[in-house]
Amino acid sequence: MQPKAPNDHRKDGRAPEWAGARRLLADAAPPDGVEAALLQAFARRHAKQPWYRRWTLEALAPWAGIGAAGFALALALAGGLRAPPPQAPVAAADGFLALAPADRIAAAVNPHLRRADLPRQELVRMGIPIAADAPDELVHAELLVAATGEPLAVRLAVN
Amino acid sequence: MRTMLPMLPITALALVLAAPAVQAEERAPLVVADFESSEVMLLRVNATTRCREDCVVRGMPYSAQRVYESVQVLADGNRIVNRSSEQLYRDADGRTRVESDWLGQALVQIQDPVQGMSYRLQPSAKTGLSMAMGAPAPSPRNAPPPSMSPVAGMAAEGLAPALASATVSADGLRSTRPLGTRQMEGETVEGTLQTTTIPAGKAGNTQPIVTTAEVWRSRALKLDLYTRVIDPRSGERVTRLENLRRGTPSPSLFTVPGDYTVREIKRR
Repeated sequence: MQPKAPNDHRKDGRAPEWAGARRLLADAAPPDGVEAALLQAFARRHAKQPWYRRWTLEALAPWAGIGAAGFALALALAGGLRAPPPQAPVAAADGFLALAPADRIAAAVNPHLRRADLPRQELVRMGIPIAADAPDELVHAELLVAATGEPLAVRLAVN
Repeated sequence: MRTMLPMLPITALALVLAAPAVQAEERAPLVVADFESSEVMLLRVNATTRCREDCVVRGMPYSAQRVYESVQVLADGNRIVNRSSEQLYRDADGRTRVESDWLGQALVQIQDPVQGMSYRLQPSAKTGLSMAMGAPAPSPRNAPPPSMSPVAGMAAEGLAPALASATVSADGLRSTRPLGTRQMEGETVEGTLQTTTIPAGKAGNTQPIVTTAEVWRSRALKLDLYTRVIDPRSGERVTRLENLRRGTPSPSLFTVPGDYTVREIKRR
């Protein structure tokens, strides 16, 4: 690399004092070991970091967000794939008592839930086998009713 | 906090994407209980009552067959007719036993206010469930109504015939009128007819819907002997007692046979 001419400051925009200092030190040599010490210090300050130390919070944040979005998407898709259709009955510990055959429940279009307090005797008349020694006592019932009004399933709790 | 800011829009996106899964939970599918779970639910209903002593009928033992009949006439003239029956027993101590069919199996329900136990038995498998009888857990929602003293109850019972005149609800949609007395199954029964009217337009109906419930009750046995409900939406349902016999049934009917395996369900 060719040294620049002393009047190069017009081209590189540096101050005239810079060119003067260069002329003064053009033939000077640094003390022994200074250059090596400077190079070592530079190397320590700008040492190559392992890959995992190069990740800062700022760098991680967008990627973490993208990861969360991807996970949520996977969750939603997996949920959609795994969830049974709304009408499909499955066994569970605390569920409804079917009042209609499974195929009719499955075929019911737009069933809706109705809550009512019904006398025990009325529930017995509906075919639900419970004791009606207190016939007028109210039992809280959650009834799944088809659009046609047919009761499909019931869940009971004493008030 | 500053480093979290770039995540906010992406987190919002994640929530939007996750929303369908949350909604799927909200419109959870119908969960039908398995046989044992539904039995536990029904046992709990049987064993949980706040009308424990007041509703025990002592000194009036009987046995009878209760018959259910329903007739539904479809728009094309077709008819759906169902008939079922169950056997009823009550002893002098107020224990009751109901034998019926449920989901294709024989079912026996025993309510024993003397021992304070409720049972649901499956004779075909010689198994069953039991639960101690008790009142529902207190909560603001199920606060018990003010109870009537035994003396007041007797007075109300005595005044009932005098009060059994036609009544009409304030809104005019429900009326009750007495039907007098008659003999059924060797018992004197008193009848009432309750008429309920659903005004036009209330349920999308162009004309009023009128339902009637005719009930014939034995005051001595504290038992309905005949009920006929007519609802144009669901048809006609009749419940009646047949082969009514006064007298104490065999005590063995109110105990669990020794060779049954009965599991006690603890009250929650």
